[in-house]
Amino acid sequence: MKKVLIIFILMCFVVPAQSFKVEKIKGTVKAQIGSEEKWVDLKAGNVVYPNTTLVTGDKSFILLNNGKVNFLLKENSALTAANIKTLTLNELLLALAMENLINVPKSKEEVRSSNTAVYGAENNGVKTPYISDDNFGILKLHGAEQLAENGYRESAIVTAKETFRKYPETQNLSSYRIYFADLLYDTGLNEEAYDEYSSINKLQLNDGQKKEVTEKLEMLRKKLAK
Amino acid sequence: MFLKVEIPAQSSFELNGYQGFSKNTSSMIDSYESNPGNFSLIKDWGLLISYGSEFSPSATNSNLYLVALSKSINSHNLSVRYTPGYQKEFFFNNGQSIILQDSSAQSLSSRFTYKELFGFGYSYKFSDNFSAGFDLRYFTEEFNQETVTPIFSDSLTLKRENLVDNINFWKADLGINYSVNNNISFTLASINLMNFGEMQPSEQNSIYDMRKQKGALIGMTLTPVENLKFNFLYETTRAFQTGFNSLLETSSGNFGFGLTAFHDRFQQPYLAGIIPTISYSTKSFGVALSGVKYFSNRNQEKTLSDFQMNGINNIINNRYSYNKAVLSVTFSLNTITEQKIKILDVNIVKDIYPTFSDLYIDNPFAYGRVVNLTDKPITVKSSCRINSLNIDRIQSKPVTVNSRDTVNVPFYTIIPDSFTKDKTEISYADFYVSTDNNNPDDEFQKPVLIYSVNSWDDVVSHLKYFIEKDLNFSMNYAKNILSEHKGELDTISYALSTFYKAKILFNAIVKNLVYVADPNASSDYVQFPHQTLKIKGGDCDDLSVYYSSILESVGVQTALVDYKPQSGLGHVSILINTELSPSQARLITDNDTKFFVRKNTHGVDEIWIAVETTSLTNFDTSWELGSQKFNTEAISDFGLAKNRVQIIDVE
Repeated sequence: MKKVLIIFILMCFVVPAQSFKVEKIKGTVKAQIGSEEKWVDLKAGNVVYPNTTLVTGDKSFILLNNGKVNFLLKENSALTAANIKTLTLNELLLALAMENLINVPKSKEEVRSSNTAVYGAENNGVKTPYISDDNFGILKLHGAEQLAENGYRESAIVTAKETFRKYPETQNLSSYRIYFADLLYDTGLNEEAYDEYSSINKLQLNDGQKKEVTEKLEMLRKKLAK
Repeated sequence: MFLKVEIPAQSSFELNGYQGFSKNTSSMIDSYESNPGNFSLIKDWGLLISYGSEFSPSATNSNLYLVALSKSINSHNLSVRYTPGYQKEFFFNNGQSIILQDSSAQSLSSRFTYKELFGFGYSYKFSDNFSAGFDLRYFTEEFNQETVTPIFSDSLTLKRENLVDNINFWKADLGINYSVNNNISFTLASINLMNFGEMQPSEQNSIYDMRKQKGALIGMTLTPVENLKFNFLYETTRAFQTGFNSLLETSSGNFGFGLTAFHDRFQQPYLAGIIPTISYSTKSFGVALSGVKYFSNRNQEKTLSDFQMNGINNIINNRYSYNKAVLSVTFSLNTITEQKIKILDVNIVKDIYPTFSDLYIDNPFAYGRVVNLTDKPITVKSSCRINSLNIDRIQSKPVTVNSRDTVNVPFYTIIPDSFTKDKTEISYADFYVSTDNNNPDDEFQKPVLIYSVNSWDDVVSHLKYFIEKDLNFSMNYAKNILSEHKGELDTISYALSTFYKAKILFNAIVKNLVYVADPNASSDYVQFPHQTLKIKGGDCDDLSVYYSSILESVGVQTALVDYKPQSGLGHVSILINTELSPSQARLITDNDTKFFVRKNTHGVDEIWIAVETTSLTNFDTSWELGSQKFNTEAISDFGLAKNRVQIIDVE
């Protein structure tokens, strides 16, 4: 009994590996743990596990510490704790490759098409999300930006890519697209960066963005030609 | 009167020249002389007819020399020949005359006839390189001499009488033939090994009787390059033959040319003559024109005393023989299919899992190593029949095999839908290869393991066969459940119908199920959906198959997720296509870790969710558990990229 008690006490003070302790919190900060649907409030001293998604409101922030480094998630941002990690270039490449690996193989005969139409007036069964606006994707891009700002460049790219895919409305946000394409460019993954800029080039861009993307494409074209 | 006629001295003399012995030698059904061992390459039936002429100064004597027939049965060869042209007749005035009453004189004559009438041959081929056999030949001799016998009565009268001796005998010899390789061959045979059935000639005619001196012959054939042979044959009676044969192969047939020179000690000059031969042959027909040219002058008339002094040495080749020309025609009738292709071995690359029937349509279950035995490229048709599965042979696509080449040919099988055996058993597969006809050139039998219908090879992608096989059952079962929830389904938006179908079906089926780890004590056993329902339980692969089959039967697209074992057992669960677009994901969840975006084959992103089928609680819990596992192992740990996790779409 005594041993069990000691283990329990230790567990209360030790932050598990890859988990964070909430050092400081301000304003509205909610957490969604694992596959839970509900959002819960966080308080200083709570342990945030890797599978926890955090979201901050206006004029809010949360400061996390994993025993080695602090990470500050600023206002109007969303981030899954597991993404606060350093990825190697190889891991980045694997993550990018998985974007294609997860798709239905081309050889398979597709007999269905995506059904986006909603019939009938009834909308039973539809959930009412906690974050009711359509900007959760943008909050996640904010979070990804902060990953980059804190030195987690590769993880920021992976997070942004996932966000662009899961929240397709964010794909038209050219400034975010260019920001993360630039990160990809900085990693030296020229082919992947070229594909990304080529995709961005098809969006509605302002003159400055157009010039920047064209220049990047030209530079990458020369690099790839060598 | 001390001389002795020596027949046959040069036993090996052939009207078509000495052909030698090798694997490539043409048919030799007439060649008892140089081939007492009856070596033959005839595959079935062979017929030879030789017709020739001997050009003496006074006349040209044409004759049917021989007719020979040969038949091979497996390794045995039998031959028989009739030789009406193998005869020599001598007619002499014996130097004595009688004066008739009219004062005319009449000379007394002597006639000596030697014939070889027919013969038999037999040989047995012990291997492609070695054969042995014997021949048996029947000879007759007739010695007819006119004499005058005085008759004493009232007056002395002389009576002219014929002293006739008819003699016949059999001669038997043995021989062996051995080819060291394709380049060198030997033959060894007896000469006059046995003679029997003989009637002794009278003392007066005994000097004309054939001499049966025992001896042996040894022959050698060298083939330094293809289609060129050098032959040499030596007899212990101090005779020999030497020569060559060459062949020119064309698309229409083979043209040949040969030359043999021969020597025996009873003829002059040292090389008594030559036998040039030209020939043309196809697979079933051949014709050869040969000539025998003697170098000595044969036009001088011979006397009885000369005959008595020197005798003859051979019926068809002696000092009294004249130049000859012989036309020989051969026919080969092959009613036996010539083996062109041989199966060396068969490798079963996949045992038979009856439930994976579609898998075997495109994938060979065995490969046969076959060799082309011919000198030309051939097209090989392979087929096979598994005794417990097939009535007819299953044909494979034809394969071209180059000359003497060895290749692997595939063998396929078709598993009938009616196959329902629930016990693993060993059956036998018969493999066939054929070329240009339906009769197989070769056959091979090998045991093959036929698993039960519930057997599985641990390859997760093959679980889809269990899903597809029971779709009819699953559809009926699923429709019954959905009809009970018709009211609920009618009130939700169409976009969510797939998601809710999946949810309703899962919640309905788990009510009566329990997770049973490996219920059949074997990880290689998978239940069909109807069995899982009946047994009311199963392990992860049984439950994934069950749920996937029920969803697929009502048009809900699923995929199996293969979590490959890193240590210990692997795991299987499923993904479900909700058919929602990413922008519709919020209709089913507020947690974006619970769905995954997959691009379909049209390039459209769709929302898929992971469900843990072993969590037999409720849909939401199973979805959460499935999402956590997939997020961790497939996404965060790069399992998909590292091939530790694989998604297998169920078509």
